[in-house]
Amino acid sequence: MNKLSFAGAAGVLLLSVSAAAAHVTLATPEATLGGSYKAVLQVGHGCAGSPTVKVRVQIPEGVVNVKPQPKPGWTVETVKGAYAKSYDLWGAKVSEGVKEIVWSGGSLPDDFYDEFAFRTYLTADLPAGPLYFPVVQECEKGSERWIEIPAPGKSDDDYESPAPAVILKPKG
Amino acid sequence: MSLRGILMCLALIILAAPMAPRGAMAHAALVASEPAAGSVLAAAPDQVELVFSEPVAPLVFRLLGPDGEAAELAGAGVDGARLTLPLPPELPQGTQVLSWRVVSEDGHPIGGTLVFSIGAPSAAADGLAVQDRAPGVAVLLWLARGGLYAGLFIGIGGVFFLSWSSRRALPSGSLRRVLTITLAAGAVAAAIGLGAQGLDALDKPLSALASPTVWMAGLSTSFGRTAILAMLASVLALAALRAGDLRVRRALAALALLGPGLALAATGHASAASPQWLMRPLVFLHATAIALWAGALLPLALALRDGGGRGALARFSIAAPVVFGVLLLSGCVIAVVQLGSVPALWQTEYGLVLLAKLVAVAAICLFALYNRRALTKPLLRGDDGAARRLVRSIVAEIILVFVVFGLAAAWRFTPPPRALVAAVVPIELHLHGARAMAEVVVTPRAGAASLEIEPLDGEGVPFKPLAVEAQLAPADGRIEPIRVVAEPVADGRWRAELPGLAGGGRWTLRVDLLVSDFEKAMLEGDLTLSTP
Repeated sequence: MNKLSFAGAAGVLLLSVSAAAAHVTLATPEATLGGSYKAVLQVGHGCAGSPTVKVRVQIPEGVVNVKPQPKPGWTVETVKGAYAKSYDLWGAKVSEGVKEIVWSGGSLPDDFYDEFAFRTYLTADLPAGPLYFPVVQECEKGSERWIEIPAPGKSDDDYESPAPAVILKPKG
Repeated sequence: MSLRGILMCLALIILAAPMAPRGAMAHAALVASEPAAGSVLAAAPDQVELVFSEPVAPLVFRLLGPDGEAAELAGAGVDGARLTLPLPPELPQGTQVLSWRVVSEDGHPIGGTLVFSIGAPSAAADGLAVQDRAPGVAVLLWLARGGLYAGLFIGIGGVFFLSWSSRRALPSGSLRRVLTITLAAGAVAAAIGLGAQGLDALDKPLSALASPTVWMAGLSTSFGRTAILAMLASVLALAALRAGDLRVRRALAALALLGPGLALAATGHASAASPQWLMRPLVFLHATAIALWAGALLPLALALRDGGGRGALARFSIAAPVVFGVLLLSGCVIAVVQLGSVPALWQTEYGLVLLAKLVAVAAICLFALYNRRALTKPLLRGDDGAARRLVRSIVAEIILVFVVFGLAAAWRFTPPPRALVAAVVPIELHLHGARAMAEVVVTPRAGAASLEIEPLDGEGVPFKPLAVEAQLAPADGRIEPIRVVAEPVADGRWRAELPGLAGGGRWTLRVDLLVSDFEKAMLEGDLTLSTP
């Protein structure tokens, strides 16, 4: 790529709301409350060039019925626990479930892109607005924590490593 | 606030620099640089090379020199992940801070700072202070100090020696004239010192000397006490010179002798050092010993020249070793406290002045030994040739004493190495968040600052986070945030060294407490750092 067009592209990208390719992000940026949501974590790079060997995501309170999609070459594990309260899932009550998903055993070179998917149900108890799924990316050398949740009045762009987020819309 | 240039000043320590680009590793990360972060170069480089983990495009580059001036740099060239930035020619000696900002191919801008030094790292505060002072004011400050020392030590010390070494009243003559002039000169020097101190405190040129606020400012500094004590002691000594009654004369002279010690203990670097209970008495002892010893030289020389002074000389040679011992011992302890380390003796300006002073003192010692061993005994036996040689030798000693005074006065301009690492004024901050809080103490120093962080949970109870990081960014965004990782120390506190904030101005401090693997409390607060 020649320098000029690169700089131009960079300028355009700077103007766009978020530099999506840079962080670990969710592929589907919006979802509706009280419905299913397929969360797809997009991992575009390792840690300063080092290949990714483990991805951990924390399931926020109010997100239930979590089922990770098995991934060839990776071992998937879940950490289960009790929720802060019980939630309504298609008419049934659930009070415990997956709190964390861990993909490990694989190796994703810095030059490659991959996705880590899981299905969730977003309970109607959740507030509308951004919902954050903090992610810890561990690499052969070092790690990256995508866990920064913007303070009120700030946006993802104000942070170096914001947590992946989905904007929740009320059912309507 | 003062000049923007001063606000811009940043002289950074080397330690934190390699950590600076840390938080930005997600996108493009700085992998290497030439010159390397924190390196000290013999000669100014003509370019900086930054190597990133992936291709980048240049955005903004600013270079902050040791004088605190920020210059925008243009002309960065990129070859993939390798960025070359030409530097201005003839960069000055000292610490250079390159603030860089680039955009990586994914469109995310990242920034950081690269610190390197040419020749030697600069200590921001004293460099700035010296540079900002008008040259005339510096000369005046130096002359006032030197004159003050002469008045206090030669004048008051001389009167004391005269009053206590002999029972006879002082004959009016050359000695009385010389002592009167010395005392008057010392008092005038103290007064001029007030004005010079005021000029220095207010950063005014010599022409402002007529302004009363300058003198009030001088009086309000610690030198104000020194000047008043010195003038009082000079008046007492002048009175002693004229007192007819032996007991009155000796009482006045003894009272005046308190002057040099008290005046010097009231001001100066050494008196300001801790432990105060040790340093101030030591300075007092040191100054009093100088007055006792140096004060004796002039009366002795004049008396011996006129064929007298045998009794005084005999008494002086008994007391001199004790006085000299106190002088050397107190001086050594003060020097050790002030220097802090042995290499500071030749690596700092303060140390170099001390070295020069030690050389002069050693020369004085040689003269004193020669006088004592080779001349005093023959003279007391009645050898007139020895008397002439002793007078010449004492005159040489007096000249050396003045050299020592001049060197000691030069310390006014060189902060002791101790001060370069010692705290100035700690700033205490309480950072508040929903899930966690932190008590933070920022201690700015010349060329650096240290952070002490006590993490507290939402209830205000101390807890131990998995990690603590801090970043400091100037509020006006003139340079990129400086990021550091804190290390746990005792009492649940975390410490980090931050690159120098000597430039002052408004800064935003962010403390990140890693509460759990997935939760980071990010606490922010503003602080204002005063200019040095």
